[in-house]
Amino acid sequence: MKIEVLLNGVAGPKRRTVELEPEGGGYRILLDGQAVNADAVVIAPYTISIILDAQSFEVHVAPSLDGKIKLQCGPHEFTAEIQDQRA
Amino acid sequence: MFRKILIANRGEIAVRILRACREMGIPTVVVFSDVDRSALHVRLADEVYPIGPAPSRESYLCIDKLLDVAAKAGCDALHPGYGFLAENPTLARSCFDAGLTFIGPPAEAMELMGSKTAGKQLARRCDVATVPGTDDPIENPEEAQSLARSMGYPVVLKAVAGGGGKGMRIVPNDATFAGAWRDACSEALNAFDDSSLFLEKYLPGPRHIEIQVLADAHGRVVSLGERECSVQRRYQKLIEEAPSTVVTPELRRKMGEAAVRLARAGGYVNAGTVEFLVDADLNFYFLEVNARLQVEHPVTEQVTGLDLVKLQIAIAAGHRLPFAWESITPRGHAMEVRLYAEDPDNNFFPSPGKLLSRHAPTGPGIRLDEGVYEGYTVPMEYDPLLSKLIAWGNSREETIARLRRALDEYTITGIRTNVSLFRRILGEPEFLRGEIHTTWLDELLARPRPPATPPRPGTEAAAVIAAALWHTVQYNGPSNTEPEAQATPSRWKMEGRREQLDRTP
Repeated sequence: MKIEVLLNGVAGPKRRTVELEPEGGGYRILLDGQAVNADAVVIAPYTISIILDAQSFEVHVAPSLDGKIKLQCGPHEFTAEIQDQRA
Repeated sequence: MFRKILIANRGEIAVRILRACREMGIPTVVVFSDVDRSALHVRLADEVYPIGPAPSRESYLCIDKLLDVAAKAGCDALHPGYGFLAENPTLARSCFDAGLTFIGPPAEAMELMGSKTAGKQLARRCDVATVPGTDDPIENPEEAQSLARSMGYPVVLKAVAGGGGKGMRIVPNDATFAGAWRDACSEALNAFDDSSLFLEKYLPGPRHIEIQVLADAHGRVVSLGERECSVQRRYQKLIEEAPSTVVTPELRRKMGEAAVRLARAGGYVNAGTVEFLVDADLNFYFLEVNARLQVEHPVTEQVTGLDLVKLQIAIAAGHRLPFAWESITPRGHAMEVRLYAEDPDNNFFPSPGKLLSRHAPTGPGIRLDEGVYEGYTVPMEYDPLLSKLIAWGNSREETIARLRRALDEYTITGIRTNVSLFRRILGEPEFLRGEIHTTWLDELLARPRPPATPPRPGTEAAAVIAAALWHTVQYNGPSNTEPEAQATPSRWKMEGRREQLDRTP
């Protein structure tokens, strides 16, 4: 499934595409059309652990009333808007 | 010792007291307002009683309701915590009349030392320096302005019944006096139902350093050393630490002796704090006495190894203090930050709401005193203090490093918190050098914000992937990337494995 994400952070808005293809117990992940060495696991409600090229990230997710998603990764905060072609 | 203690408070301090009681084997009774049914202190207490609607005037501030609960539950003591009725002599007296022990100072000592003007008069009698100013409330603004002129500007107007900066105005010059007087009166009246003001010379850039004292009912009064509380936003303390970076052993001894002298002269019993302003030449001036347990008491606990709440209870039960001042040697360095549900990017506007997720820091030297949990909804009716994060280390540098690390681990989603403010303060060179004073933070916040540190490579990509995965899980329902799905194998598979094991010889 292909998902378009409009991410807003310190560097301003960026439009990225993510493809999540079920594979084994998880997903094969493509970012902007390129396969990435990433593993993503929902480790607790609202908490997602991402291992990206051996770098560990923990992202805390909070949906907001306007449909956007607030993301916190360490001290950094982002807002994401999702455009799902299936929706 | 007491049979059962009523904790007449809420939030983190109610939890803190409850824990001390539990360690002492004393059953606890707590009260809760309508919006606090799910609060942590209600979940943890032995007995709980509703006391009315959310407004504190109709619940936590109703002495009659508290005494009714105490009688109904068979309590023989009441701990007021801090805030609400903690410094209200009427509560202390009502407890006495009802045969309940009030875990705090006697009403008379509160009256003598709790009022800013009475406290100053007592300080002068005890040979403790005070900031030049009036001893009595001033009724007439013209008289006050004339005094200000003779004293020389800047001056500060303060509410007699005040605290937390309410009813307080710095007056830089004669032209602004009338407006400042009007505003301070009106704010004092709203906050304390008492518009009386007094006047002091304003000391530019002072430090706020306070001495923790403990006094038993048998005449022993000890100082537990200082806490520096100079990092304040609009007169509200945000970071407290011990020891202070500027207090020498000699100054500590002098301040401790002054605080003990004052407490003794005021007939003080139980835990209390004597606050001082310290100028650039390390002269100290009496500010006020806080006749109660302070929010920042954990800082002293961390460097002395004492449990102040347990000591409060023991003193109220008539026990003698088991130590003298000379036997207490503060060890290491402790620092506390007050984490609030407020938005530092929106003028620190309160941010009540539901905590969707929460990760609490742990590890060496970290203590978290809090009254919240994941799934808890922070009500809008009360002070939005979520928790107090306290770090301890062998040195100030180690303490700050631990606090920074803990702040990075501390995550709350669903509401805004002031964690980012502390990350900024703990990186400021002036703070690291200990060059702070009571208006330092306000000045820092008025400066342009430094550019945000760019995230490490991969952070944005991780955030994008997390957003997409989150959306997918919501859209598709539970998937095998969720922990439940990973942790709970199919019952058919489990049964098959069990049968295989059974066959193993």
